[in-house]
Amino acid sequence: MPGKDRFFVEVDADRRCEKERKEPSGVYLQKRYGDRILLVAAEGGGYGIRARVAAEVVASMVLNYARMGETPVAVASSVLRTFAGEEGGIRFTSVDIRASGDVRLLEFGHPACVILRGTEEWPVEREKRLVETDGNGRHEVFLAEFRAEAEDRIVFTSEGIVVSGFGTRRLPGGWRRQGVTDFVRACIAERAVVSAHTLSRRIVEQAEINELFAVRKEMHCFTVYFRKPRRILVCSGPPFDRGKDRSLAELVRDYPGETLVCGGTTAGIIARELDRKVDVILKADPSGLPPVSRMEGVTLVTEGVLTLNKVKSLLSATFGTDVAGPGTDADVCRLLLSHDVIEFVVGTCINPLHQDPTLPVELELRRNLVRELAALLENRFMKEVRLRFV
Amino acid sequence: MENKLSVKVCTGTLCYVMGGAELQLLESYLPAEIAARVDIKGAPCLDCCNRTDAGKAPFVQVGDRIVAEASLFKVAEVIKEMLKAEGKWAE
Repeated sequence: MPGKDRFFVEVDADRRCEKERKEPSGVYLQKRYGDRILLVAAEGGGYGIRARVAAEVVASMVLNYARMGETPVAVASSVLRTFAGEEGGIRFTSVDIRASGDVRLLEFGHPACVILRGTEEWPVEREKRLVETDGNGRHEVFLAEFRAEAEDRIVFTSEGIVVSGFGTRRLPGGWRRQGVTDFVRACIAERAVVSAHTLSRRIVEQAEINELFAVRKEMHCFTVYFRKPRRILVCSGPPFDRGKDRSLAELVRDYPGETLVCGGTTAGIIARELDRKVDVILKADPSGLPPVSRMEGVTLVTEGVLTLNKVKSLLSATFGTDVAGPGTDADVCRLLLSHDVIEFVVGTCINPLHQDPTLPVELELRRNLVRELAALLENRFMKEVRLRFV
Repeated sequence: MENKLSVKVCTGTLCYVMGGAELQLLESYLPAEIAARVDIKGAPCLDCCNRTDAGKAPFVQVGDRIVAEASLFKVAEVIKEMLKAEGKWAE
């Protein structure tokens, strides 16, 4: 797919609840469907469980209607008719991103997203459409379509962020959309490759400062960053056909990114074929995993199945992009999460002794384990994962 | 410089789950006078688990000898034996 290697779409979000509230009433959803990413932020109006449920329903409707191919106007119309008479507090924004870079924006009630090309705001034209509901309601929704390029960004901020600081001496009229835009531009000027994660966090933190740390209106922010992909190759397991040992080693040698080798035998094959040394760092690992090794030209060498299993468990329990803690499993998780394109090359040669049922631990088949890990990285962490068995 | 006896501890999956984890502590387990005469290193895989004649994991290679079902005690005994045979150590 031409768009696949052109750029990677990094998405991250942050939020703050009002002072003394623990759960937000607004909702942010993101889903990847093959080469398509759908993001929805929704608010149900008011506070508490009722608002939260309404927001969940709205977000789910927008996401699923869009996924099924409904036009943005039809999506907005369905949502607003469902909540006819109570649509006063409903707000939603959806961003539909295709691998080609085509972006479709649908905005209702929220401040308009800031779209940036480099450090400058890109004035993407919005088309205003009227949606009528049964209760004589007429609502304005805004649509925009554009083709993103590498280094473009989309920044969504909820009303709570735009009005933050309202009534304070420094910001009597609130931060306003222009204030948010200037702040984002300054962040990008300061660090051109600032991640979506950092940018979302900084916007919300600044809005919280504007509010003098007593947030009066819930804040939601998500940012999309179209950037050149960071790639990593993960090799695990010896090839089924020994004749492919050389090509596996050459793949590691010539890979245009970082490389991770999971498996002692695999590391041995690569070292033998490339005439390199593997130095095991013989010290106890805090995670209880076998020690890691060093090999010239390879970012990290670890043991195979046990390590991948622990990495899968740790990622299953992780819901952000931050993995704290020492240990090989955490190191591997951090390495994987810091990349956009993860290419697994999995050798399918099985060591029959690993299948011994009397072994004290279950040594899962490597290919199943990697499949599960790949699905997790793809679905939860929005990584582009390629899987190849050799 | 004295030619030290080479000791390679297999850190492969099978060796590790079969008790090889404790073998990482080999250096601290050995008496100082023996530890000074051996060069302990880890090996990603000694490839013994693919051979039916090598015995059971975990494996440690002492010199050119493979120690199967290795434990700290067993490896230490083999090291002493080999150092004695080479005339590098006497109890």
